[in-house]
Amino acid sequence: MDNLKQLIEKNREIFENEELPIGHKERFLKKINRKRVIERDFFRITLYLCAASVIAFLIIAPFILKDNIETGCPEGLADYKSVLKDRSSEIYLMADRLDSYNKDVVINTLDELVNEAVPFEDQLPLELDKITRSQLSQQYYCPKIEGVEKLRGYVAELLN
Amino acid sequence: MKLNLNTFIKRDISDQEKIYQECHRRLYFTALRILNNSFEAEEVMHDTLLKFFARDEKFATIKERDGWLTRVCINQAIDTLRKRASHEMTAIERDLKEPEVNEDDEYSYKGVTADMVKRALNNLAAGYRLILSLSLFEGYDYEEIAQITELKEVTVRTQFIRGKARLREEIEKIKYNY
Repeated sequence: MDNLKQLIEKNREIFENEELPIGHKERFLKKINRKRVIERDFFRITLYLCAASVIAFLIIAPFILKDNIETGCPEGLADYKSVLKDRSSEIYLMADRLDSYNKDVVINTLDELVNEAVPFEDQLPLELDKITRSQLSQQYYCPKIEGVEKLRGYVAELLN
Repeated sequence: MKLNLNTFIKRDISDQEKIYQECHRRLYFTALRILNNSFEAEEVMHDTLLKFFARDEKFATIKERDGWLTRVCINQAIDTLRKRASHEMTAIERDLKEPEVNEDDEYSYKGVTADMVKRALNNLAAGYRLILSLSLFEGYDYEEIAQITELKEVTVRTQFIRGKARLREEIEKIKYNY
């Protein structure tokens, strides 16, 4: 070890004997408290937002679920069409077992419900956003699905 | 039940104060030796501890914790030094162009007091003070100092030798004025 290093090692405390600036600890506590307040506020805001989201979900969920449960209405355009197609095939098969008068009534009603000369989505203005298109499709197709379900129930009653 | 957030926060206040008591002096003097400015040294010491508490680092030993704190403190002090548009750094660049100075291990430091060395260190340019401080007080070798300062090892060695030469000159001046 060189002479300078030895001198420093021997007298280390002399190199660190100065008084620190007055109030250094208070200033530090102030800084740490400020930081804590920011963190606490952030935590509180996050907590309130989470709570608000949960409450909002709990309020809205029953309405959404109720609608879907009652109508058995799926979500999405492909789903609506697929449900209508399945139910229609089912009703056609059931209608075959009816007398010719009732069969004609059922098939005509079904055609009116299901057939579209121009698909609904093609009739919507192009400038509509995705969410609005989806909402309008739901409002258009869900009553149709509901009607087809009722028609199926009617045919089942006639067969019994 | 009322959710009291302060219970979570208060729990670690005493720990933080304890760590502050244990470490603040060492960190302050580490920063002060590099910066030669008590206001900036206090800021660096505070920022280092705030960083430590914010990260909530876990260390196996106190030595490891202190090593981490020292390193962060040095880095913060170097950043502060770099932010200064300092004429001192220009002086270092100028000094590096001067002819090589041989390491003089023969200087005995007889009659030299710690106070003289302290005053001489304070009179040095920032770059020399940084290298000397990291080597003589923090115990880092040339390779480690090169990593910390992002300088070449050979540059660190040159600056160390020059710094020591300058320090001796400053000590001689102080001795002469005694």
